[in-house]
Amino acid sequence: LDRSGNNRADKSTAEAEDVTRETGMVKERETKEDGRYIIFYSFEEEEDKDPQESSDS
Amino acid sequence: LNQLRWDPTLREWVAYATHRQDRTFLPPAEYCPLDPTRPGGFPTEVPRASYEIAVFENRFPSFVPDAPEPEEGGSPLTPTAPGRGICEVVLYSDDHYATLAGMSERRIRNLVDVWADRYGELGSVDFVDYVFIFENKGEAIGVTLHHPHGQIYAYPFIPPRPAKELEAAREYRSQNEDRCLHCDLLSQEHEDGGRVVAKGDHFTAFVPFYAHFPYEAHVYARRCAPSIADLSGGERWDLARVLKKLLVGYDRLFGFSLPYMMVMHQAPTDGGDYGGVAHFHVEFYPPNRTADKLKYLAGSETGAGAYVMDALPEQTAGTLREAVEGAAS
Repeated sequence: LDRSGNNRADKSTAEAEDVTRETGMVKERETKEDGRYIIFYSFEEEEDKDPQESSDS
Repeated sequence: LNQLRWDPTLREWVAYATHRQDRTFLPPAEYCPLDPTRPGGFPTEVPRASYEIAVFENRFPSFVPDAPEPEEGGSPLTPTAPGRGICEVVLYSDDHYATLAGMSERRIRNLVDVWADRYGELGSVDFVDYVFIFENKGEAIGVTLHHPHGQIYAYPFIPPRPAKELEAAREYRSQNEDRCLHCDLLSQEHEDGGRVVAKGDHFTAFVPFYAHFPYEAHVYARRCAPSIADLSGGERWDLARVLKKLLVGYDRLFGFSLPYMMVMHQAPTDGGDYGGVAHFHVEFYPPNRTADKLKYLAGSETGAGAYVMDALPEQTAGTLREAVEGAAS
């Protein structure tokens, strides 16, 4: 198990990888030089519009 | 060193993490470790030139996943345990000067998704019993970095305050025909109306009848959702809107970016059944009682656990509501 309790064999140790892509959220996990992980989240805005904006327009 | 020591007088764990004494303390903005690493600049915690939202393992964690058995064995009366857990930092933006109040509803909505994702992932780790999402904002709260960020502690136990709340909710449920304590409190606030600060389609912000801080506010899900991960897309949007309204109202009321502690209470992840007991909500504890006076947790609050307040929640809710409504108009 790695530091987060997950299977370390599933992870890249250097390069970023796309882990999930759901409801417009993209999650990329990297391992830093000291072994700690960092996760970058980005969002595809068209995937999830504000329902209030939709009803207002 | 990460270890837990049991306090048998209060029946709670105390965490010791002595390396935290050396953590970065209020660096100048140009050396903020939470900024992105600019081309040619010094390497920060974030090895990219820009980012939307990022989460990383805290460099100075209060708990670590591989904490060893403590060298101090304790005693049967005062046992010790490994300080096993996960501590994350959540970066809300790569803009050093941004605040949650000043962010767009869209970005806060995205942040809600990130919080929900972390709750699910950390909660699935076998030794994590409670995922605690929080933000300490402002030097009055003791923050050591100004960059907009929150934290997550994945505890190996259910911490005392949520545990006490869950115990009260479970007892209330058993004595009141399976009713949810928080649903009934929210209904009471809606019926009274005097302490409600902001209402959305799915969330309500109010100063509780029993507020422990002058401008304490709770943001309750209208539906009895156990955790942030259980919120629908529409509910997540509404949470973002209500949080924004409340935060903008706070800043407008005081005339500056208000310090606060923001915490989320939700279902533990210890495998137990919390249906109708855990009810997702967010609590804000600003330390200010006026623009230039702070509410201190002094002798009565710290030593006796008895809070003494000098303003009624109905009064503070009224002024806060006016600020929220004024900001919206």
